[in-house]
Amino acid sequence: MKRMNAAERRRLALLGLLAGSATAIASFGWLTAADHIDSPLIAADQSADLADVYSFRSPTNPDHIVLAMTISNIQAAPEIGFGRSIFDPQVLYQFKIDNDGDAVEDFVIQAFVTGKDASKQKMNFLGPAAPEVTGTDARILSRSGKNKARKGKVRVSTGTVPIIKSKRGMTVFAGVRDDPFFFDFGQFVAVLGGASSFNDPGTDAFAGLNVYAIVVEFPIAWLGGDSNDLKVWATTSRP
Amino acid sequence: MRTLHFYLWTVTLLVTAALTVAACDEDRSELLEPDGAQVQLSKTPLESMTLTQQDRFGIPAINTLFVSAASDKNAFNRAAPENDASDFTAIAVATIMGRFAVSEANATALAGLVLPDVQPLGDLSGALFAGRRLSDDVVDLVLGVLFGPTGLSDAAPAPGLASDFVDGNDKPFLAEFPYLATPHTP
Repeated sequence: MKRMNAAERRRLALLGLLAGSATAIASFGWLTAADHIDSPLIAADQSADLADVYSFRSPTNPDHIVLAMTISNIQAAPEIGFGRSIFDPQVLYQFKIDNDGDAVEDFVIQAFVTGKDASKQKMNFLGPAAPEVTGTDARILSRSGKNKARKGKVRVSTGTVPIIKSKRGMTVFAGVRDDPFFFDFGQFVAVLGGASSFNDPGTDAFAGLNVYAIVVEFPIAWLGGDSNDLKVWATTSRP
Repeated sequence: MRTLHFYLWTVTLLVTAALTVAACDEDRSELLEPDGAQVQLSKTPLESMTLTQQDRFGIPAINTLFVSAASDKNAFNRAAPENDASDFTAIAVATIMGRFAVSEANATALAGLVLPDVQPLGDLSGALFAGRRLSDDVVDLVLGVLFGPTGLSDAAPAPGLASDFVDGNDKPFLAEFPYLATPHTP
């Protein structure tokens, strides 16, 4: 096997960073991100395409956790996403939390939109609660009986003012926001083409872009008290 | 292996440093529903159906960086984290070695740290609280692991490649829920 020189190795390594994004030749051409458009199948399903997941202690209440997922790969133009949600009533959006280290969800928070008109959707929330099934299958949590899940509902925000609901410890939001991801994707492409380094300062290719987001905040204690081995991930599911 | 710890634990340290949390209870009374009112969820066509996973996300960029073939990417998005170590370690090790000029030993260690693909929250009861904040620079974390002073790539150190020199978002994050910045207007 031919030995590569350092420059070749760098280029190869950066090529790897890019290649995973499937080059994302969508209507806006070149977007990628932490997970935006990360496989051929999901790239064709904008409403179910997870872009990023965030988890952090609430800045406003140290006893609360905040979970956020962003959806859709190319909310590139501000005209997209205003007045018209990209959430799909046929998609179940879930946060999953493992509290004992086996990478199997012990709690889920489910979210699904209802409403025919994409300008007047409601995002419905269930949980956190133990799911009936785990893994790659999913079922809507029970809303009755002794295991009934907490419920919430909020109108999907399609404009600049966030519509927020807060009830019995749970605060929820769903709607359009600025894409929180930042990355000099343009210079990244230039490096792939032979440039020797990034620029300082770089240029954020995600500046000016929007995404759809689901954000929840609730007491950390709901996830199992003093566990120090909590893990979170998000999924989208369809029938 | 310091760089690997850096990758997973820098966030923890950043959060700890940033925990100058003013424990103020926000008065959002204008946003609250009438207390005690029953929330009636709307009927969903998904009720009683068995649903199939389409996409998933835990640690940023795992599928993007460490799984190469398109068919593997599709499979990864539709897989459960509990099976990641058994089903994707070999794929990830091969990809990391091939793409990033990383030794097999380091590639194996790195794969072990990012699989299963779940975001660690850390100790929620104590002062440490990892996870991923909106402001965390995950691109630089990944580039640093590969090209930083003790980077895993044979090409390291490469200071001009160890950061994209974009250190934050274009709009300020909010101090209050929902924290994500206001969207860009048409």
